[in-house]
Amino acid sequence: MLAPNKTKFRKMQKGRLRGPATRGASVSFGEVGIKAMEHGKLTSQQIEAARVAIMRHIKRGGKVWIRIFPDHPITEKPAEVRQGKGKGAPVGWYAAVKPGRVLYEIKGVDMDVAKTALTRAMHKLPIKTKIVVKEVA
Amino acid sequence: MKEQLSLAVKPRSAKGKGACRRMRVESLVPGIFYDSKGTNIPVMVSELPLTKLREKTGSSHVFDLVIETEDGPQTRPSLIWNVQRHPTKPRITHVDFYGVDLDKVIRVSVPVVVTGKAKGVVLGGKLEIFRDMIEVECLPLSVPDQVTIDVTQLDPNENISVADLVLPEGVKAVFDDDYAVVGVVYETEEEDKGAATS
Repeated sequence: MLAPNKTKFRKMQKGRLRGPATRGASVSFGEVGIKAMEHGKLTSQQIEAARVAIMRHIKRGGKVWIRIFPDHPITEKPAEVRQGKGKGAPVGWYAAVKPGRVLYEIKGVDMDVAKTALTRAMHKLPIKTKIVVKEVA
Repeated sequence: MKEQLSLAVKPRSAKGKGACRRMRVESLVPGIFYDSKGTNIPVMVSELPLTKLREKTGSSHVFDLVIETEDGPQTRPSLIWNVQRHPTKPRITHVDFYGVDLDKVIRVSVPVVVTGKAKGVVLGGKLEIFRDMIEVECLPLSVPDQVTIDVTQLDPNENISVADLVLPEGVKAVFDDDYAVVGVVYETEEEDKGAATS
């Protein structure tokens, strides 16, 4: 699963996801992709599940790009622990996604196969998404 | 002969984020007209005619941009140089028009279209398009809408490079290194196994 190799700090504040994505909002590498239509936090498990769904459908051939990276740590307190005593321990990673962000791209497979693969991947994601095709000039 | 298209735009004096947002509410698209001589005219255009024109012209078809000034309409041959889109809605948020000199050579990117079924694909290879667009140099009225490549004779592990392309008369491809545009990749069994496991 995707995770940073090294980080400067172990824990991070949550922040907010306001406004649309200004970068990474168009299909750049592939022919067709998935675009986020709302904001959300995609965990590395969800990103991997969607990738596997795509790869299993397109079988071999073609190329897949993952346009997001889970670089924000998730922390969690143990069960049955009172509030306070500091922030919980890191348990995973998520990617902060704003509306408009392209999440996955595919190239080199039939358009029908690519769209079906992306639809399967969309079911693995916790946010509303849509399929977008690269605009040619 | 290409169809002669035109688009009417109005110059605008209102600039900045707030003014542009108010324009977009009224289904107007803020834009800019500029040319190689240094002219800069901020303009606004109705969204629907612009969208329809863009579908016909793409970014390589010269059309007449009619700027309705107080002194009367000025017609300038132009290209749609750049379009900014809203990240989630199907709307154009800004457009750049580039005024061309019809006697002066320009450089534009033209989409590549592949036709035919390659020999290599019949033998089990896979057709790969390495470049979706290629840069060409020609007079504005000679810019092709697309570059069509016939791949019928392409064998496995063969490429068609940019220097091999047959372009219309007066059109020249621009490149430093002779890059491959399209090719047939023939995967061996070992590569297949590697791809299947990932």
